[in-house]
Amino acid sequence: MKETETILSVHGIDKSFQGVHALRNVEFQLKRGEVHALIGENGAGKSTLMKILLGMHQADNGEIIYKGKTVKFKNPNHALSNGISMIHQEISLVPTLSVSENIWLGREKKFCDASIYIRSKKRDAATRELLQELGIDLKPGSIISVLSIAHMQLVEIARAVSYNSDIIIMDEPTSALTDKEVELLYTIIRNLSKKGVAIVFISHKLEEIFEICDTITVMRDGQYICRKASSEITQDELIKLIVGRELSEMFPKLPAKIGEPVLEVRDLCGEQFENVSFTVHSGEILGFSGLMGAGRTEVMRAIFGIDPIQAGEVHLNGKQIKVRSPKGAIDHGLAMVTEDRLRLGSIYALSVEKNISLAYLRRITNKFTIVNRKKEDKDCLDMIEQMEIKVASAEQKINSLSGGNQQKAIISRWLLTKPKVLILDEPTRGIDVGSKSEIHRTISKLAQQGIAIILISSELPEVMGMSDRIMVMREGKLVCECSREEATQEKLIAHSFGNVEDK
Amino acid sequence: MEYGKARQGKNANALEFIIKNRVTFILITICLLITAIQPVFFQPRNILNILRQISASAVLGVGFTLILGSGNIDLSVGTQIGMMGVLMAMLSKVPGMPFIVVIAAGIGMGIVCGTLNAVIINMFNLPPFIVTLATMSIYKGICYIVSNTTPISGIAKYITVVGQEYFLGLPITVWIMIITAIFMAFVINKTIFGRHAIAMGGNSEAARVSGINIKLVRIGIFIVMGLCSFVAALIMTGRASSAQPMAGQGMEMDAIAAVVIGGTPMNGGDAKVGGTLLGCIIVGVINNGLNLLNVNSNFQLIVKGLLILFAIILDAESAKFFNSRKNQ
Repeated sequence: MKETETILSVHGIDKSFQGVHALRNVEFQLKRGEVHALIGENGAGKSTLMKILLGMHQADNGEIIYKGKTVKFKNPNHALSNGISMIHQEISLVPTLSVSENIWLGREKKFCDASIYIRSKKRDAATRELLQELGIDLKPGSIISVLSIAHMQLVEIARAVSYNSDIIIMDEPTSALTDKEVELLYTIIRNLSKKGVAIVFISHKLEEIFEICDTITVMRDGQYICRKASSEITQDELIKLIVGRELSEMFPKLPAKIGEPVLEVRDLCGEQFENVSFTVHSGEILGFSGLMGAGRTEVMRAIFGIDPIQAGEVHLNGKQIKVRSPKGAIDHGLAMVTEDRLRLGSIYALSVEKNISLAYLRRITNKFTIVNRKKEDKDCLDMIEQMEIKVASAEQKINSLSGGNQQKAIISRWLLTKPKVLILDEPTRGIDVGSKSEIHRTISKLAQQGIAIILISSELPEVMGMSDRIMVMREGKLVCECSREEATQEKLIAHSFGNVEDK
Repeated sequence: MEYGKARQGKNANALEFIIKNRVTFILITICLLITAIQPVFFQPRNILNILRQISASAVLGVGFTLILGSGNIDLSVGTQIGMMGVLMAMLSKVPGMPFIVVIAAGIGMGIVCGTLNAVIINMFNLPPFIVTLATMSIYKGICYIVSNTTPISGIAKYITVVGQEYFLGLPITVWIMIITAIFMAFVINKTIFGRHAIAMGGNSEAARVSGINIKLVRIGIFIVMGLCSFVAALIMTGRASSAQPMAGQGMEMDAIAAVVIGGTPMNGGDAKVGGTLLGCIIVGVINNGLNLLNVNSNFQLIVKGLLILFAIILDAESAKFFNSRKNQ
């Protein structure tokens, strides 16, 4: 039954963000009635490609041919009115409105008489019909905020379908769904496909992709790798394509003397992880690999006192410590460069110097709590020099620096606290290549000075190149521990994606 | 060619200097304008008069510089002032009551009010706006009940001395204003508490992750605000020789206006005590000038409103100006 007409064809797309090449010469072909998987590691460029398609970003180069015409959508609404809708990973419903109101938000005109009065009964009837057709068991009048996340996701799906789009993009639509709802989603997808709707299915779950998708496009490092029919390829071959990187790009780690255990974590449990145990030694770099949302950040946040610990113990230099706040963690000699530099790192309104001195300020005050400004100036200038932070002056606001230099300033903030353990959560995300290797060099040097380092990274070459040992987390659990020598990209990816039967 | 370029740079620097010190330039321009029309304005007596008039609101503005700079807001200060004024006036009427006890009671009340605000905000993780809106009403109610909504006169002489006498040629209230401002500038720039408070205003989550005890800092900030309310209450009661139950109402809004005119951002991350003082002086000068020019006091409200708008628009535009220069 399936038509073979190509509905969307994308050629030679290039996109850079502030000098970082996010996409290079990407192509993508989509046929009517096809369920097409788009797969790749975090940061491979899937989301950027979809954002360009929807007009949220504009490509630097390349063309998009949709229904035989070259198009350049201005914004997602423009794309939507031309028949392309997207279900985002994050819920984007108005929590205080009903299911029905959310589905038709912005399209109330359909249910209006000549006047501006909305015929809500008519709207609810249309909603009921839509939900019934899709087999979703929800009432049109239910308020969103009382629904489960899975049900919210179903409402999102219903809304996307209600536009009668020709293409529906689904970004990890199953991440919040239970098995039952996943089955329902599959049914919905198959029905849509029969009607000729093309589906772009972004997912990290390989079983899902083989279950529901006809075609697979693999992306890696911002480049198009290949397109295969899902019947022509095995899971192992797919993993090789996802990884497929030459090891020459690896980041060299300088040799460091690994000493006594410094931080020991035993059976730590929190809201999004359970029974996590590991030890990191002085001078050692312990890498944490896995997909986004695997619970790595959450474990570190709990150790650092940002989130509460539900059970388990943390030992530092052989003594148990109880950390209830970041302040407590810092007093014990822990330091953490957080993942989200924008939200949890830089304080934009403050100068570079004040950002650097923030965490150790308490240690350079006299008994009247007056800050020793001379020492602060000197220490910060030393740090700026040592870390090679490129600034015009220390008084410059931090938001005028590049991402790489901001990150170096944040790392400096923690080095001034003289930590025993330094946790780095995605320290080089969104940072240009030059600063990246400088940060890697710095991390190596810190390990040589005897600091125990925990490095969370979603980039395999980084985590493999920098770490002495690597832990892999998946769905809140530690699923693999291996030494630098044992680690292969295939092994780490297989554990991250949960495909380890034959490994 | 080179010469032209250098010239351009020099002009740009002059422009940059004016924009950086825009509040001072606005003040000078307004003063010149008023003096040109009404030379009486520039007489020392009138200038002192202006300073004395603004001293209470300036003390409040200084407190608000810390409140806004740390990303907080306190709407209850106006009614705190009424309550403290009434309390101190009533205590001072008790025969034989020593000055120090009256002052201590005022200080104690400032600490209690500030702590109460901050603790409620901290405990239930509520927005300061709503919490202080509620306590504003509570303090107002207490003040009205205690005073029976009538002014309390016949207060002890030492309070009127504070409000009306001179010291070294300046009114005591002006001295108090200057000392409060210097003290606050010191606290904000030199002490760990001030530095932590401003960092909290810039990004409270990042500050917390950097080991700052946000809740403790917030309690400190609101206590300092309560103490500023106490000082303002003392000045106002002294100047009027009586405690008016409605004395401070609406003053918090004037204080916020002065802080914003002075260049402290509403959403925190920076605090300019000197700017706040300039802001208060501008508002005082305009009110005084319009009085001298026999302008109806209701028009003064409109002028004040326009001035606030002008100041914040100028603020936003100059931020754009600096950004565009940086990107060149």
